[in-house]
Amino acid sequence: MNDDDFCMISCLDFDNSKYSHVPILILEGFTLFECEPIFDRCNVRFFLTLVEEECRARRTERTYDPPDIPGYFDAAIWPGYVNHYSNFIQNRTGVTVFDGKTPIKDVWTQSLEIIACRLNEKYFFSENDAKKSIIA
Amino acid sequence: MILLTLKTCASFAKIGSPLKNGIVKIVTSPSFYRVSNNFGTSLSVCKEMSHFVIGVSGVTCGGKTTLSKLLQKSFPWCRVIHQDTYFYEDDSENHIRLGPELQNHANYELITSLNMDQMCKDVDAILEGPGTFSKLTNQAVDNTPNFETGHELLKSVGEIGKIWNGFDWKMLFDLLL
Repeated sequence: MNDDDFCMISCLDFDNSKYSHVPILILEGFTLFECEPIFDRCNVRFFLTLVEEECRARRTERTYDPPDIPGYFDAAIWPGYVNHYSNFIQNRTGVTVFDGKTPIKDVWTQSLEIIACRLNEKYFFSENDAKKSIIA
Repeated sequence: MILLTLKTCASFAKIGSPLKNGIVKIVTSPSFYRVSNNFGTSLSVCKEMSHFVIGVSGVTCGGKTTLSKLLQKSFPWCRVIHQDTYFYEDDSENHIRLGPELQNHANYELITSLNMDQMCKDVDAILEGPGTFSKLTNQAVDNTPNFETGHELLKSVGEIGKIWNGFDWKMLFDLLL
């Protein structure tokens, strides 16, 4: 996604004011959920997948530090990913998996719906009880 | 409504110099903490404002960074930690090497190529700090203030007071004592 696309879709209609008092931490990384303490600390978990050829094509377009050497994709990237996916993501409850070929705006919308749902559960579920317990 | 983290609230009572004339009790309930003294004066309430943590993971080039950037737009006050910043240096002994046919290149696709202990520590430092601070600052993880000492906590109470725009702490003390 280039910068123009990013600007175009950056004004999704989502009212965050209800949650503005909630401190939010985003963790981002390719093997986050392999680390149990990190997995346990997440309130929502999203995982983006790609099929091998799409992943290879995208990876070729990017530059890395250190740069990918010939054969790195087949020797390290793809086996590493397959292993990670089958051991830590597949059939695991609590992880929402998205196809990385889905337009990112749709992924964004759907993940926001899930986030809003979990936020409501965590911070607004007992709102009425909470009001009662405030003593003037 | 007064919002404090449990930790701030508890230390507030423990430090207690303004409160030394009364026994301060903190009554906890799932989301609220009621502070009262020995005269039965009960003063509202601290709602624990624990962090909400969003994990974004996925295959390389799958859109992780883009999605987390978009979520940052939805929650502009959030803090972000990127796992990529915890890779060991290229010449680190922690890396598993791919063998001579691949120039002994480090295998960066394994979790062992990252200092996950440090990442967990940094995450916990944020989660254990007063949550409201994430609205105040969005500083780098390694600058996370250490709130272990009472002095820092007391200062943080003052800072939180400022956030709620002139909350009257003296009134709180008067009510309690």
